[in-house]
Order: sequence, then structure tokens, then C-alpha cells
Amino acid sequence: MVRHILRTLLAALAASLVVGCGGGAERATLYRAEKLLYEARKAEEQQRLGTTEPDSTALMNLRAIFLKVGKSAPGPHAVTAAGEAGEVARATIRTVGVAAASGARLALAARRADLALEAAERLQTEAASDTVTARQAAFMAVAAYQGLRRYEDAISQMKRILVTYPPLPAPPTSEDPVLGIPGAIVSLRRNLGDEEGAGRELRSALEYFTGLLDRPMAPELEAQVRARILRASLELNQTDRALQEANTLERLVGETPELRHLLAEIAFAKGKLKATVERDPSEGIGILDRVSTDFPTSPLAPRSLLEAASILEQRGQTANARERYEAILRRFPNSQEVAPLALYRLGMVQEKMGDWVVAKSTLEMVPLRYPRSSAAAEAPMAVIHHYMNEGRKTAAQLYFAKAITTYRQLIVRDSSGQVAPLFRVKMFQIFAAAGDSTGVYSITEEMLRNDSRHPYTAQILVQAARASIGYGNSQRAAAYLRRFLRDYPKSPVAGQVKRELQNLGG
Amino acid sequence: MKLSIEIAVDSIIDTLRGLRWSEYAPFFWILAAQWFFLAMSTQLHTTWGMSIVAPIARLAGGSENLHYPTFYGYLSILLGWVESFLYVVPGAFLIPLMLLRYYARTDRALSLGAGAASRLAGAFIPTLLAGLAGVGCIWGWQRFASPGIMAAWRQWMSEPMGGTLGWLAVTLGGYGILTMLVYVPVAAVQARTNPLRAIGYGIRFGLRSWPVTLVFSVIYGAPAVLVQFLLERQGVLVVSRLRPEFIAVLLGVYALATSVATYLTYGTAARLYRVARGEK
Repeated sequence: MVRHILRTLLAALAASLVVGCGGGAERATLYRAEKLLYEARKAEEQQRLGTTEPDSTALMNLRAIFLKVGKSAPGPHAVTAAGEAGEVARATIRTVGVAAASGARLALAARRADLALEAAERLQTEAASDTVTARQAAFMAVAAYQGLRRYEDAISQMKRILVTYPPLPAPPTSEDPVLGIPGAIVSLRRNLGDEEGAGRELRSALEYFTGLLDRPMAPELEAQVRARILRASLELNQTDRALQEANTLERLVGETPELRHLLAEIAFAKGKLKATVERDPSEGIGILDRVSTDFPTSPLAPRSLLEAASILEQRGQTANARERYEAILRRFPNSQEVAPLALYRLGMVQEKMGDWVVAKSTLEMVPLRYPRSSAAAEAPMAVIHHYMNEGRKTAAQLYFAKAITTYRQLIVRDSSGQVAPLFRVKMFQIFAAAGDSTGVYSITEEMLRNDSRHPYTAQILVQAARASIGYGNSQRAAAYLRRFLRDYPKSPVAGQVKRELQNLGG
Repeated sequence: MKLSIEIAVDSIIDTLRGLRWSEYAPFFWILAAQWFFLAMSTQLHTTWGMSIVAPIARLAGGSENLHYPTFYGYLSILLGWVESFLYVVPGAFLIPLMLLRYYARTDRALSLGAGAASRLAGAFIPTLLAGLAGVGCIWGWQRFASPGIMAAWRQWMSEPMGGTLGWLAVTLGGYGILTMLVYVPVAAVQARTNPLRAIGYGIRFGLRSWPVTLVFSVIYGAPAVLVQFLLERQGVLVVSRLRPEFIAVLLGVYALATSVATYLTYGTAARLYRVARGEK
């Protein structure tokens, strides 16, 4: 009897083992990939816990550890297979995708955007059958293009994402990154100094978000889309549309308590609309002020104060504006989006109020406190403009050297940062104003080296060519114009540049 | 004979003095199977490791845990099922075998031949049923009573003391349940008995000697409880701060401590049972 029971038990165990063996290899591959990913993350954590920031060699070594994940799980993966096999394949490809994204991130940090782009392109091909990973790879490519300063390619890639991947519903307090893409395109255009392009992209964004509403979607997603429409219409000064959207959004929030976090958005929009449209802005300003106190953790809290201050400044209420700029700096000093601008505007308001000594020291504080902001580029120029406006040309010229030193220090701090090209443009403007041909040439060369294909470089090439003619160096002017035509053949001013080049005999 | 503290202490001392490999060997086979399983658990990145562990995890209803490193957080639960199976099913044969080898010290005839085989066969069903009942009761205890006990302790005392004492109470409760069934295999290997009588005698003796049995089984089980405490209360810390594989090592130590404790518990129980019945 005992023998019989034992035999039955062993047979049952063997049968279960055989049944369970199916997919063992695939599951083991997934497990191996997960293990390597875990070890890579641990290695990165250890490295980052060190006393010094990892240098590019350390970053590339870490990247190599992440790349082992992909090598441990070579494709193809049967993502379309039914049942557990498909699930395991999808999980494997996603693990590989996460590792590849980490590798790309490290490559970007090590200033090897080319490797990041290569990884993104490979992953896009390999993971084409898994939307989640393919989408992640598409985002990786955007970051890589920006790292390579191929901004037009980055914008094209972002537009491809918008066409290929519709936004997905996300938990109420977060949102699908796809919804942030139109805004990112607008910001990128602005950072490139292309305000006209930014306006065009903003209109496209509004069109895109409006188009999304044509399909049925979850109330949470609809509210997020409507919030984006509201922001875009506010920026485009489409007040009727913005008011209509604010009311629709308010109704949606009223019906869905989980969307209460959008109340800040609605209050901000209504406050801004009232303050700009109505003759007496005080009610609107009051609403904006309340946004900053009622929703202090919302990113709109500092923005509402900035908006209120800006409206008050435009209406000549400089004391009230100053109060709000100071409030921003006191309550939200780490808001990188708002605080630098608030400090810069505070300096300008102080200047308007006739307190130049304080204003100058405020303006000089901007590059020190917020060295990676565009306000840091504007502040030294504001000091120069003040002297020029007062007719103190010598004082302005004396300040040139100080401004140049400030910009040089800012560039040294982050030579490949997003604002570095703007610092170089400001340096160019100072050298040109001072008639310093050596400075003009050297900064132009620096821009060609560091900011190749950047729209600012296009502007500088044309201006440097014109300045060179003024300095009597037509050969150099022709070289700059030829470089312009080579790097920016599709530029709207290409025809004019060709004519200028012909005039020079090129 | 009436049970007394002296008899219990003598039984414990005799058991500890008279450790024999041949008597322990049946428990060693269970321990070896657990160690093999744990070794396989650290090899899930290989096809063969996964092919052995995945079906077991699937049978235990935890196949969604076959991911790194979360698997190591689940491993103690999975090993709990494997341990239950090994002590209940192969244990229904191996525990009586250990007891017969123990009694063979005084009864030479038992170490050989047909007498031993027939007692072994007769003890299988009562031991299996006692094992299943034990696992069922423990499952029920942990499923239904444990949350209430933990909550009550947490109300009485602040953390971490409340949680720790609550956990200890639940663990001791488990020991309390198992000690009531310890004597079923002991009664089942006695001469001139049958399964029903063995279960009846075993439970009756278990209830009669319950306090004494609980004390010595907890003393023997203390090292295992300590490792279990570390695993259950600090498991996440081990997974996140140290290497997750360290959990498998700790579980190996736990399995060893449990194996030795079970052997000592059955050894002492066997001696106590005979002495209480007036035998030498």
C-alpha cells in the first residue's frame, strides 16, 4: 500500500514537472534579464552614492552593465503569442527596454548622444511589436536628438510620437507623457529663439488636443486633455475659448471628485482671464493670489503669482508687482521655471521705481542664483541697456567686460547646457557693439564648434558675415555665408544669403 | 505513570545525549530535499532551475512571483508549502521510521525484519492524517486568527514591540497546535495498535502532556524561530540592502534548525510516551 501511494505521488510530481517545463527557457531568460537589470541598478546606485559624481568613463562602464541585459535576452520574442508565452515575451522585451533606456540615459550623461540614438533606433526596430517598449524607444530618440543638437529631428520625432501613440489614461495625479509633447515642442522652439515657430506649434498643439476629444475617452483623460486646451488657448489669447474650456473643465471636476487637483488649473485660468479682459483687474488678481495660497504645492502656485505680478506691472502698478515678485522669491525660490524670471523682473521693477543701486544688485544676482536660466542671459544686458538709455555710454562700455566675464563663467559651468548658446549670442552682441572683431570672430567660431546647426548659430553666421564686411574682411564674410548655406539650406533667408554671397563675389 | 517535570527533563537530557545519525537520517532526507529545492531556487536564471521550481510555484499558486528579485520575498512562503508537503507526505513514512529506529535501541527486534515493516505501514495513514490536520489547522490559524492577534497586540503596545510580540504569539500558537498532534505518529508505531486507536491515543496523550510538550518543542525550535523572525520581519531589508540570494541561505539555516528541532521533539516525545506508560 505504501509503495502504491508513493508511486502515485511520484507520478503526480513528475507529471506536474513535465507540464511546468513548457516555457521554462523563456521564463529563465526573463528572470536572467531581470537579475542583470537589478544588478546594473545596484551598481549605478553604488556609484551615485560615492563622494564624487561619476565621470564619463564611469558612466560608460555603467552603461556597459545595463547593455548586458539586452545581450542576455536576445530576440526575437514571441510577443504576439497567446497566453503565458506572450506575457513572458512582453515582460522580457520590456525589461530589455528599461535597461536600454537606462543605457541611453547614461550615454547622454556621458555626452555620447550618438550611442543613445543608436540604442533608441535599435530598440524601436526590435520592440516594434510591443507598443509600450516601442513608445519608450521613441522618447529615447527624442532625448538623443536633443543631445546631438539635431533639434529639427527631435521635433519631427515628437510629432511622429503624437501621430503613432494616442495618450493613455493615467492615474489622476499623473498624466501620460504624450500629453506633454506639444508643450515640449513649443518650449523647444522658444529655447531656439524661434518665437514665430513657437506660436505656430502652439496652434498645432491646440488643434491636436481638440482632435483628441473627437474620440471617446475616460473622464480623467478628457479632463487632462481639456486642461491642455485651456492652457494653449490662454497662451494664444483666445479668451472666449479659454473661458468655455474652463467652464467645461469645472463641470467635469464637479462630476468626478478624483479630478479635484485640476481646480488649481481652473482657478488660474479664470483669474488670468478676468485680470486681462476686465477693465479693473483686481478681482482676477485676487483669484490668482488665492491660487498660490489655496494650492501651495501646485506648480501653478508660483506661476499664478508671476502672472498677477506681470499683469500689474503692465498696468503700471509697480509696487504691487514688486510685492508679488518678492513673494515668489520668498515662497518658491527653487521653482526653476518661475523664480529666475521673478528675480529678473524684480530688478526691472526696482529700476522703474528709480532705485537703480538695488535694481543693479538684484540683476547681478540673477546669474549667480539661477545660472542655467535664460533670465541669467538677460540680466547683464539689462544693466548695459540701462546705461545706454541714460546716455552713459562709457559706463555701458565699462560694463561690457564684466558682462563678458559673467557669460564666460556661466558657459564654463555648463558648456553644453540648453542656455549656453544664448550666453554666446549675448557675448557676440557685446563684442559687436564694442567693435571687437577678434571677439566677434572667436565667439562665432565657438558657436560653430559647440552649437552647430543651432538656429542661434544661423543668426550669428549672418550677423558675423555682415560685421566682417564692416571690419573689411570680405573673405571671412564669404566663408560665414557659405557655411550658412551648407548648414541651413532650408532656411527662409537662404535666398537673401545667396544674394549677399554673390555680391561678395562668392 | 503520572507525568512530572522530572520525567520531562530526564527525557530531554536523554534525547540530547543520545543523538544518533541513523535515527536522524530520515529527517536529513527531508532536509536534503529542502536544500535541493533552495539550491534550485537560486538557479532560476537557468532553464533547468526554472523548470523545477516554476511548476512547484504554480502548484502553490504563486507563479506571478517568478521575477527577480521579488521571488526571494516569496521564497519563504513557497518553502513553507514545500516543507509542509515533505513533512506530511514523505514524512508519513520517514517520521515513523525515525521513531522505530529510536525504539530499536531498547527493542532489537524492531530494527530488523517484518515487524518493523508492518508497524511502518500501519503508522503511515495516522501520521499522514495527523500531518494534514496539522497543516490545515496552522493554515486556518494564520489565515483567520493571526490578523486579529496582531491587531490586538498592536493596540496594546506601540510598534515595534507590539508587532514583534504579536508575531511571537502567532508563532507560539502554531507550536501549540502542532504539539497536540506530535504523539499520533508515536502512538502509531507502538505494537498492537490500529490507525483509529493510534489517532485517539496520540491526541489524548498530546492533550494530557500539552504544556510539557509545548515547552520542550519551543526550546528545540528557538533557533528556527529566531531565523524565521529575521526572515519574516526583516526580509525586505535583506532583499533590498543585501543580496536577495541571502534569503535562500537564511532559509537553508532555518530548514536545518527545523529539521534538528523536529528530530529532538519526536525523540523526546517518544521517550516521554513510553515512560508515561510505565515502560523503560
